[in-house]
Amino acid sequence: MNEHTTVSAKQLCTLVFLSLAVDMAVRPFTSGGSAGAQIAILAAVLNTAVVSILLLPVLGLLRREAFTTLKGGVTFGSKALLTLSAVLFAAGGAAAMVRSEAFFRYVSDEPMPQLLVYGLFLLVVFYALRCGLESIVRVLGLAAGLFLLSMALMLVSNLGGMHLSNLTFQPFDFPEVLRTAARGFTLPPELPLFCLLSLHANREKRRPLLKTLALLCVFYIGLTFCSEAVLGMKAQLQQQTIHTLSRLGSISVFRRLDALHIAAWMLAELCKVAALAYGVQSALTPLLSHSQRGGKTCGYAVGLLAVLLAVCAGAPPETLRAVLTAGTAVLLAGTVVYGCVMEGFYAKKRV
Amino acid sequence: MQKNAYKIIAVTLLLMLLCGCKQSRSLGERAVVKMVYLDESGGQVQAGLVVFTCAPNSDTASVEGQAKIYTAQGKSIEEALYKVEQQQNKKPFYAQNEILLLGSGAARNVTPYLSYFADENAARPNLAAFLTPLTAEELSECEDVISDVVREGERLIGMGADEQDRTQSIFEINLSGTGGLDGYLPVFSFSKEEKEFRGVRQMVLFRSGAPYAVLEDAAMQMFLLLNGKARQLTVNTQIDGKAVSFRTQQLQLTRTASTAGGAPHLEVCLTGKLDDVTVDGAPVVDKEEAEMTREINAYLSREAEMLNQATFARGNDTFHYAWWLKLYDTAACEALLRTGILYDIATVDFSSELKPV
Repeated sequence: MNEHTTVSAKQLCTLVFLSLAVDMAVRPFTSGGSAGAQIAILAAVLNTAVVSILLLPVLGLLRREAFTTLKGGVTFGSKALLTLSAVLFAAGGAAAMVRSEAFFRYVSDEPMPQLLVYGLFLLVVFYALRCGLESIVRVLGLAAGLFLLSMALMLVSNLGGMHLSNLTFQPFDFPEVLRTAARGFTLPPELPLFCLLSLHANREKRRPLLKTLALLCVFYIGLTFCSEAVLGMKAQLQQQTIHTLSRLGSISVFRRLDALHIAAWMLAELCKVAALAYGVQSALTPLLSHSQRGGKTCGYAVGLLAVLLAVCAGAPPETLRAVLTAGTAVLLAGTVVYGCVMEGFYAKKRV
Repeated sequence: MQKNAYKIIAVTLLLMLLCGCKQSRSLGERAVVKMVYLDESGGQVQAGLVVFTCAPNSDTASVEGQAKIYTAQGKSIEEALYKVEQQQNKKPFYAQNEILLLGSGAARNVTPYLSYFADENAARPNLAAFLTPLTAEELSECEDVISDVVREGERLIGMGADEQDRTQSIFEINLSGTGGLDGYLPVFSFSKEEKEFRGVRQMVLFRSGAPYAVLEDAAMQMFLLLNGKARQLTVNTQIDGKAVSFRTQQLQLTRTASTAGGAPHLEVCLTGKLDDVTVDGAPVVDKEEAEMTREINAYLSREAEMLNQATFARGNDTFHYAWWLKLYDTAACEALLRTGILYDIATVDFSSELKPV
């Protein structure tokens, strides 16, 4: 691992932002009968607040000496956490690949064979791992720029189709907001990935992860509002709401902007998978003997990703999301416990 | 050395995988669908496809090639479309299609036809749906002029130079009524004698998928205005036995909700300027202007009331009045919707307050 890394916490936040924002554009194929914008926005704000609160203890540990021992993988606790991280990140990457492939097949008139798409993904990921974290986050920055440009273009192209009368109103129903928030609650593996990669990033006093989550919430609110303002109640029934928006929007004679959007979104998905794969590699490295480190870890990381891809390929998206949320929750809780125990150990040592 | 080898392998594989040669299909093997026609006759669904074919191995520039019309029939929409697709040796490409025509047989209950295309990936969401008096046979006889018809039809989609949008995309159509479509569809007017597209001159109102009223001229323009699809009116009509024509400028609809007698009430007010007012072909002079303005305002109010009777009072809330009422008092409107008494003509009042330029 490069000890003199030029990766900053802000770049890692861009990684988290892009990885989670692209999930909002390329939705899992489980929708149909989801909540209207009024409820969904309130539920999103609630979920953001809950996730931020849950993250506070972990973010508090990030600057502590005890936490930095995690990357050593010496103790049993750190080994267990690193193993869980590797599996979780690989599962997250596999889930992203499954979703991307399904989306790509859905939008293509002549879809590519599934195995070819997966093979291409794994190949690109392998190449990205060979290039290292700095290269991944630099490409990710470009991909984030393209993604945001695509979203801005989509917004502009749909401005004419937005009608306030498409927004649905219903009396405020807090239990319904709670139910929607509970249904949509997600703890993505990108959050512990940020914590793990922070160990390799430049030391900065400020950790803008909570701001990133707030930005993501604003982004979600914007997308939800636009979707309903354009599509009305049909927004809730779409399998791929944002893709439908991209097919509707046009600027002057340019009526097929969706083709441009798809390219930007697929690139973002690719970057997300590469980042998660780097997480797998980072988690695996301390667990391997010195002779097996270096170039071989890329192969092991891609291998683990491929194994989990084979496992996840047939799983329903909702199950995958639930498993990833549970895994992330366990990992975050384990990290906090590990940090507290190690902090106590260091305190005793100092005494 | 090993690093370079990895790079070369990766780049080579990337190039191999990205080219997509294996399943590629040239444009010459495609039939670019520009219009879909559906009708129902004698229990059979009639389907028609207007396609543009291009020379093999040609590029996108030659898509505007020769137009062909294929027709077939089947027991269901799927079967009819499948059969019509089989009549050509090219694979149909629907992504450029923007026009759906429904014949008079299909117009008896448009819901199944619209539902088929409203399915998320069945067509582009901005597919414009029209009714047409043409039968499948009459359509197939128009092959020599159909490319002009398609072009004219595509030009019609969206807000035109007259600041009126007479078309409706498939995603805008409300199919959630008890029997399906609650709303309207424009009529694709066609001169059978001259084989010429005559634009949209009529609108048909639908309730539960069945037609119940036809609007044309001033009523159609007023309908578009109340629907937010027009920003000005150009009217030639009869008022009290006089031939009156006028244009409007800077039109604005103001909706004000309030509570009247314990129930939500909506005031809709049309403001703007009247221009080029003529009576029996002669411009109105100063003395007559005020009187004529009053008469035109009264006429527009009557038209709006007639439209409210034909739509809102029948539960066809195409003007989104319930939305404005909900904005004012969501709980009260929800309660009225549940009891089914929101859609009362007394709930909405319309007034026209146009002034001379």
